[in-house]
Amino acid sequence: MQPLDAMNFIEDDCVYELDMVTAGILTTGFIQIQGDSWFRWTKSLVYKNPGGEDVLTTGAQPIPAGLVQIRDLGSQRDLFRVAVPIASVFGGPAKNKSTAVPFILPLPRLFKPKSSFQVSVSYPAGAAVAETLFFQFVGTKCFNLAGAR
Amino acid sequence: MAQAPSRVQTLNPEPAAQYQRQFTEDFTVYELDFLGLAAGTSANGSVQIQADSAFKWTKACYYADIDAAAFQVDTQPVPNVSITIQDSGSGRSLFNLAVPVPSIFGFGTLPFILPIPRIFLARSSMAVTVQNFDAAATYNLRLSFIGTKLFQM
Repeated sequence: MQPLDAMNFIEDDCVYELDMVTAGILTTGFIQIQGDSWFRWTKSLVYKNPGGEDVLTTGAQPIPAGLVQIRDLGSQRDLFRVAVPIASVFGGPAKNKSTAVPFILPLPRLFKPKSSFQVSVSYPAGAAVAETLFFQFVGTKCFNLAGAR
Repeated sequence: MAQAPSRVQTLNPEPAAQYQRQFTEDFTVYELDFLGLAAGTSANGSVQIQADSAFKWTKACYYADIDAAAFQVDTQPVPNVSITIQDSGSGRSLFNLAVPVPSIFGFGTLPFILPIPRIFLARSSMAVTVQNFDAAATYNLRLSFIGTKLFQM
């Protein structure tokens, strides 16, 4: 397959969402990249559902306690040497901000059409293992224009 | 008319510039955890850079908790811990003295961005020493060295 920079393409905003209810030491989820385009991942966010019926206020949003590992199932490559804290590589609610602040990747990460990646959430000893997490992988769809005229 | 001297120079010893090689990059994080770091104690650790690629370090984040207790945006622990980092490849310490972790490590929402990317060669390691200077708290401290792998083409 051609490298992306060798193609003519157009981009469109896109978010791949992964919702996960962690219920044990290790929980995994998968994201399947759609077949119509590459996915250029540039920012990440996570939102933790606090549960209950309390009305959340700015500053009172909970921070996920888990560790995350991401594996590109196309190349079978783990992106991180070992699992890292979710809060270190995913943005989210921030101090004195009314909106979430994303984590910006050092450089965009490309995923091929029809590829997939696995997201694993684990917990260090003593930490909570039941969290409802909403991950957002923010970026763009890159539609190949090859042959289109 | 005399021209102004060029200000273009390279101070950053990037392998790409030094060796005229081409690289492809991929997002990665090297993680180093210090668990149960008691008040008044210090600990050593090291990050071994993998052999398949050099590491271009660009951002730094920390995650600290006390006894694995949950916390919120406004109650996030800020560790009273200082850190020194030494590049085993060059033998160079990155700081002249130990620096407080919250000064050079951010959080996922606002990571600390290095002034210039720092390159660690494949198979090298960074030696890290942390010192808990808090009077009472014992921290679980997780440091994330965020950047890219540089695969030589």
